[in-house]
Amino acid sequence: MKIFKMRKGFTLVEIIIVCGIATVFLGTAIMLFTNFRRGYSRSEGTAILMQEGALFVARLRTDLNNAVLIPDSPGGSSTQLNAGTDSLNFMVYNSHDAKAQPVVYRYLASDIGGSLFRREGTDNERELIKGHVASLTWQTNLERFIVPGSTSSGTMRLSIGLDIQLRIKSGSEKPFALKTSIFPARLNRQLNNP
Amino acid sequence: MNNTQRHGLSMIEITISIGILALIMLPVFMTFSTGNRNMQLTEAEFRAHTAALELMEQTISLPFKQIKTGEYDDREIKDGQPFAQGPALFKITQTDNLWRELKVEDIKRDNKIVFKKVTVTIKFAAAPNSDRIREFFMKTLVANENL
Amino acid sequence: MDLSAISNSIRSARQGFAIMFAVIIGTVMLILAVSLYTFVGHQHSGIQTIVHGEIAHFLAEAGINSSIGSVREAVTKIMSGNSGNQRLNNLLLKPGSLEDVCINDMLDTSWNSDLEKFSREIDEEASIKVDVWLRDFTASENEPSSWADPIAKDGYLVIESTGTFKGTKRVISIKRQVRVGNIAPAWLSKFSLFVTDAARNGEGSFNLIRNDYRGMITDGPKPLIVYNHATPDAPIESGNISDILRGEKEAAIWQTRGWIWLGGRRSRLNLCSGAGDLGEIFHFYDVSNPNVFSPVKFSTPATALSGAFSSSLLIPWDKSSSSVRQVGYSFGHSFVLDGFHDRSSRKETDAMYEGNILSTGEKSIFSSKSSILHLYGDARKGYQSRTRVFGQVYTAFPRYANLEIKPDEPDVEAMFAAANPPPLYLLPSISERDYNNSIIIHDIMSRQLGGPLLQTGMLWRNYSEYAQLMSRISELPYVESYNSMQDVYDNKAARTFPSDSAILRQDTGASTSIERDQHVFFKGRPNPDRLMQLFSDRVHIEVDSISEFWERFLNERDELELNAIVSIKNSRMLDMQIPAPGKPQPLIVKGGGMVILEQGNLVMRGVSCSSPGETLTVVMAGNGSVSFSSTQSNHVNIVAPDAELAYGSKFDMFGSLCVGSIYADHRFQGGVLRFRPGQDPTNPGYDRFYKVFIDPKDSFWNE
Repeated sequence: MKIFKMRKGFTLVEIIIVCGIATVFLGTAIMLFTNFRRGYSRSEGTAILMQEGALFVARLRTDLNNAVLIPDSPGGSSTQLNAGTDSLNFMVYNSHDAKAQPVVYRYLASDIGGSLFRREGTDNERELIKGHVASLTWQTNLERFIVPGSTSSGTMRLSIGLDIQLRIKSGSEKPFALKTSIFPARLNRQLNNP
Repeated sequence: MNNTQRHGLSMIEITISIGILALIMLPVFMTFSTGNRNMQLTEAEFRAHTAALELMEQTISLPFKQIKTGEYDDREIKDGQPFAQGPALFKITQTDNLWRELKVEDIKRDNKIVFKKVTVTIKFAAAPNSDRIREFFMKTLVANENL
Repeated sequence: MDLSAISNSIRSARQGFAIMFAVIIGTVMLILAVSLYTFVGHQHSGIQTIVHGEIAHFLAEAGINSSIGSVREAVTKIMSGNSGNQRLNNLLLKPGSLEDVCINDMLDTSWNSDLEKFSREIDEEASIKVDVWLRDFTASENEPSSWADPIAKDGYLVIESTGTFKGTKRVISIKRQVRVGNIAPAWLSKFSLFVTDAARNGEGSFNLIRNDYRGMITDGPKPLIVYNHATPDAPIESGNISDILRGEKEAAIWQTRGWIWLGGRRSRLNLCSGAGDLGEIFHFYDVSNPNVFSPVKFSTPATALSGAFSSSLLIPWDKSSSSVRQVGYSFGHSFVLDGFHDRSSRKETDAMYEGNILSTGEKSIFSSKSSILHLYGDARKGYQSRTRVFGQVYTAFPRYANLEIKPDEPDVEAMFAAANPPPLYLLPSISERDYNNSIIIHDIMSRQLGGPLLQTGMLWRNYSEYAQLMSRISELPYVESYNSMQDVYDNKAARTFPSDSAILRQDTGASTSIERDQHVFFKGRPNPDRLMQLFSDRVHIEVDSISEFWERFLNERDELELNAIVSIKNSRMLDMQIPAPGKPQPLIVKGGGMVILEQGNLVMRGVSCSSPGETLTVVMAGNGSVSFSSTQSNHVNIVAPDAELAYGSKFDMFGSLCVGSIYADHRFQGGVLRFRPGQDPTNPGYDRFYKVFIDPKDSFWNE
């Protein structure tokens, strides 16, 4: 009876087999899970980058669409839309305060991922993108189209060429890159109808 | 007897487990891949939208007279090429898997052109190198301020 | 080796282990996958919202672009003054604040149905709507110490285009500033004349006019005549003579007249009412016929005279003791305080006074010169007007009394009566400080009549007796003399002395109040600096140069269509000629307004308002000069508190004149300044000059 009870346990071989099966099973499951998790975070990161990029471009576009030239400010238009390597600033009419105030976009480059900030008037600076900007350039292009043989000064067209790349440094996420030109509607209207 | 039965259940259990896991994993992977595909689509749509805005904005930035009536397909809308017969030039950011069309129509009242209707249509692949082509369009009116 | 413990635990755990494991792993992954799906979904819809927003933006843009012309046209139509929409006018010209209001119902909003059609082309769910609002109106002039205008307000005309696409909405607003304000120059339009520093060239600088022996003005400056109310010959807003004379009888008529400000240090002014063939005619003259020499005499009642008057006196023919004859004279007292005829008999000498009745000291003070400021118009009936004069004007009327002398003997009386002009025995009325008892009166034959009057006690026993009577009569502060004018008009036999507490005491203007129907427009001391600040706050449009101004605001018929308050920078400091050189004179004002010349001089060459509903105000911010280079009449208000009214042509101006000082030498040609009652803020007619100004530029767009 006592021997029979001992027989009710597992033999070492049985245990090893069970452990082996369990290890394979568990290992596969964990690998699957890890891969899934990695895939998930990659997708999530990519989505985040895209969303950040899209929101930034939409914000910048709205601001530029509302940008105005202030006739009295010294220096004329050149001082009113400045695109440097690390900042982009221009004047935007604020309906609430009934006056034009500067909007400043600031790019803080960094090896581990740059950040982008925006400030309007005297408000505090707000961070639009934190540590995800791999590269960013913005430059103003002023084109002048003159009809051949015409004596008129032609048509001016101002645009901001934007090239931005977003990346999460540590992960394997797909970087988000966007290159486009934005044509500030009011500014262009003002340039051609001062 | 009991002992034998218990061993049998153990094998069945494993089989069932794998089955259940497989059953669960199927929608998991389906959901996952749909999500990823959607993301690609979103990105493609966003790029199409950005391209549409770029074309629309530069068109309506021009003075009314220079928004030349006509239909322009992707071959005509290239960076540096003249818009209609010029003098304005297109300023287009090169984008893969995306085709542009621009249509400018006159809206007349009392034989005078009062508005121009500008339609920008973008055709784009839902995913890189995909055969699925989608279409997206944007319209606006520009008023003749000289009237 | 006893493995029973392990085998037991495995056995107990083995039941359902794999299933549980699979379920847990599976569930976790399912949750992750679903969350990713959801996240991606959200992200997609987020980006879709941005995309839809941009489409909605272009719909809204289309709405604005397609309707703005019609909206502007409709708004211009309803805001074009009296011909516009009465309901809107009532709304904007209502005193007090204005709540935000949508004015679609006042406009023909057919554009909205067109837009609806266009939006349907894009999507069944797309829509465009354009609304027109009046928003954010606040009172813009609400400081009574500066100017409190119940109607003046600033706000915005907002054209709001809403584009909707798949539930995402974008709004584009075009705002235009709307300013409702009066184009009359605030409190200044209550004044005919405002001189910031009347004593700049000395306190008596205005008292300069000299007459020749025929009464003609000789080499000196010419008079500036001020009419303080409507006159029958006014170019517009003329008055009816019977109404004017009726008004004269009202005790407080001066309140409705154009006021006069003579600011700065103490100034001395002789108020007179015009120069004609007969010379200067001082204020209280018998106006029934200015061409007949008949000064109005106010005879002092015998009861008010001292005992010296009660009986006649024998006075020797000559002063010498060996007089051939003694004649009895009875004496009376009268005064021609503020109405006598200045007709000189000797050129270059005392133009106003016969005989050498003034001592040298007296002459140096009072002289024979009258004032270049003729604040009471001329001698014609209905042209003299009582008004209110502010400032430290301490001698507004010449102060002389008249000794009435009636010889008792007929032959002597006949001699007196035959003299032409009849003799006036004028008595200087002088202050105690200046009392000079050496004055000797001569008669017109240069013979001594007697005197020195006061020393002999012929009229009064002593100075205090003299002072009691004379001072009451002729040393009254000028402002208390108004009642005497009333007496002239009413032909009163008895003179009514004004009381010491009469309302028209000397008034420095420290608590001036301008009000109508319980509304106080102004309270305090009128300050030209604050007035200039008020104007600069009112500016609607700024232009760089005078030529740009003319280019912009002259219509094809060379008429001025201003309808705004325009500031001209004029950095080249050019003189502004109105009308511009080479343009027809006078300049016709079709749409009134205000022009602010930041620097440079002003030269007026003739301005005419096309209707009584128009007025033009020219403001000169600098300290140059204002002059008139033509005799054309000028319907204009001039505000130049730091500038000098320079010599030029004789002018004819209809409006309010504000200058720093008046240039007074022989080159000054004088002119006529007529008050314009219609733009007096205490008059309801003032409301005609409110204008609604819509900024021609879209001040900003916003989304």
